[in-house]
Amino acid sequence: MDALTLSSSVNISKPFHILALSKKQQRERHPRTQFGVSCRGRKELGGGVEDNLYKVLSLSPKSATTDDIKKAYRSMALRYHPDVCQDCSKKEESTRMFVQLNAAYQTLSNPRLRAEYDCELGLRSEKISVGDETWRYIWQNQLAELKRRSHIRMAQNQGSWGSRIRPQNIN
Amino acid sequence: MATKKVKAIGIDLGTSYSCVAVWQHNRIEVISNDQGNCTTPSYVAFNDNQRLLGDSSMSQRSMNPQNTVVPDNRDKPMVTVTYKGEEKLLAPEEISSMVLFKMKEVVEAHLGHFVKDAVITVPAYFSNAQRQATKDVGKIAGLNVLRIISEPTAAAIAYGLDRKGLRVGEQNVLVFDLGGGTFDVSLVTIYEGMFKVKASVGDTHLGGVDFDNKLVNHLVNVFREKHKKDISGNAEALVRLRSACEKAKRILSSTAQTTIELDCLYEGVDLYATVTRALFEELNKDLFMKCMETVEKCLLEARSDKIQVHEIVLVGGSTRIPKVQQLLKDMFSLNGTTKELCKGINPDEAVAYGAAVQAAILSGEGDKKVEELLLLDVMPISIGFEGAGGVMSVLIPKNTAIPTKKERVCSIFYDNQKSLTVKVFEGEQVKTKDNFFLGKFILYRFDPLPKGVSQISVIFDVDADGIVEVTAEDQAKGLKKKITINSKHGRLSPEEIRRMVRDSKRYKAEDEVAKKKVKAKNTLENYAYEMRERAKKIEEAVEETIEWLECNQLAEIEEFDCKKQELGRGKGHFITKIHLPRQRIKFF
Repeated sequence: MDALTLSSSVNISKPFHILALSKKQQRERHPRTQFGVSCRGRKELGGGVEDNLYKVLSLSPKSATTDDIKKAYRSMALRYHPDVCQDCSKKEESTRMFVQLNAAYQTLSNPRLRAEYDCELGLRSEKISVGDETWRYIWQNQLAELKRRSHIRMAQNQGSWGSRIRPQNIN
Repeated sequence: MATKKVKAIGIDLGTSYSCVAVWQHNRIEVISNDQGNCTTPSYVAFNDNQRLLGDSSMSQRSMNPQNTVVPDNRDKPMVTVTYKGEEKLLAPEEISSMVLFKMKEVVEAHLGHFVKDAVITVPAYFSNAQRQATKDVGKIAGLNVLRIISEPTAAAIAYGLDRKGLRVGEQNVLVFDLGGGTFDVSLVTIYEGMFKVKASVGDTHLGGVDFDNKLVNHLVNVFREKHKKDISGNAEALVRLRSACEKAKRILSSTAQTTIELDCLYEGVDLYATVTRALFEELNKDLFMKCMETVEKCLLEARSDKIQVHEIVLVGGSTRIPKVQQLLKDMFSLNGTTKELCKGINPDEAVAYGAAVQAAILSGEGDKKVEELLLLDVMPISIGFEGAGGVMSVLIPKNTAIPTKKERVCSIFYDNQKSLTVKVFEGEQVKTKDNFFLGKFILYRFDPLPKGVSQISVIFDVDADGIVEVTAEDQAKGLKKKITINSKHGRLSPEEIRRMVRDSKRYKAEDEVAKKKVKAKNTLENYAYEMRERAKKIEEAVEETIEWLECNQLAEIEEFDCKKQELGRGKGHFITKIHLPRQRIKFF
């Protein structure tokens, strides 16, 4: 359930990508010899295992402050990060727990993502105002992403990493 | 002798200089080499007799430029050197492994015992392939590489430990790492012993050597215009000039002006030039601005504002350039408040320091001071697979904390498609053809179904070392296929690694033979000088006795006997051995 929520959230943040794919699919008139894949939906492992991100951090949804979330993340990271796991047999389980922990923290430490998540949990009733902020945040994300790509393209023209790696790619 | 054995060491493997540190006596110690220097040149030299590492290779490079090499971990060219009269072709991994071997020797000489485990640092923007290559380098040098960590992260650890008690709450530290050959900017959050990288941006082709080259090119032009001679094709002249320019650059960090004087630089002509700091800054203006643009980019990727940066930590020798510091200071000075740069951390040692801390954590030594530290690293470059139309489908964006695991459900693209190829790429471009290919595999034997019906899960699993494992699974049939991305492209094969390990051992054996030869020669030389000194004293005593004899022909028997004994005693020989030195005297 949470996974699907995150999935839809991620999809919404990249509508241009989806539209681009759709247009390309429509243009396909003749089958090609080259095989490819198309993608639908996305989910983060770990997020689906726990029914509540707050439980991953051992926190109460209503009373958890930003500082509580940070402290919880730190103390649990010190328990589950593979680097601090001295028992080799538990390393795999430890890593799995840490991955979940990271996913939970990534959502709950971001005020806007947390607000979205809380809304899904039914913890808040002001859906309209949260929705407005959500959309503004999504637009800002898109703008930031576009700026980032613009930076990359400009850097590429001056001999960026990508342009230097490309010859190797051809080989 | 160390009170107890050190389990793991931290090595800063730099393009120009390298540094090694260990956790010892409940703190980090940076280890000096046999010349007493904390940093060792990352140079390797070959001549007719032996291989030279460290300071000794650096000091002779003007006389032997063709056979003095530095590990170029930026472009990976093969290098040809002449060693003991034979031509040798060396891979950059081999050269780097020699530098690592030298650092290993330095620390073992200090500790008095062998070491095996190490944490090695690399530039933050190193790709997956480059990190894997660095692990290979460690293997060739005889080290077990516990972890590859980024230089800025290591520096942040050094800063965080130094400042740990001073501030409570979260701190955002911008690590500005400008070394000899690479440049990285990272934003690291430090919160009660936890180091979390928020963003990391860099250029693996920007550093001190590039600043030197600007000055070299300028002086080559000056020389051409003044003397109508082009020295750009002369390797020996260029090495001397580059060395002088590097020295001038360092001097200009603390003075406004210096001179470069090179006698008989080319075809009997001298070079004499005055270089000012202003000239150096003008020549490198574009490169300095490029550094500042990278800082802006890092903040953008971290979604942070300048006001949120609490501290700026300088790492790498090139951060001593006054103009670089000034530009950074100006960039972060807001609302009339001047931002001071953190200068408490030694820029040459911070990276090795942090690597040694991480080594202590991973090997389980250290005390409470490092017990509660945790390093949370990130993927430096985005990883994904090829989607429809050759689009890069990013599954793990750059700056994602590791370890991590991401899954995406896909579908076949064509009706009745019977196999699926998953191609994994690394990079930030929209099209996969502009990114770096990491590996691929094919999933077979699908049931014939219309497109869009089959459900294929593609899972990317990245461990704490940044190693990527990709799995594809047909959910209906339970078909499964996985591949561990070892970035075979551009990497050494296992056979090549084994050959290089053997070569490394042979080089080591030959080095030891050369050392013994030098030692034996020195021993003989010392003995010869000692014998010459003793012979001189014998000659003096004999001459003195003869002189006495000539003046005392009529002395009594007792006096003659007494004088004889005195001569014998003075030489430290018995009477029967008197003749031997006398015979030697004849030859003198």
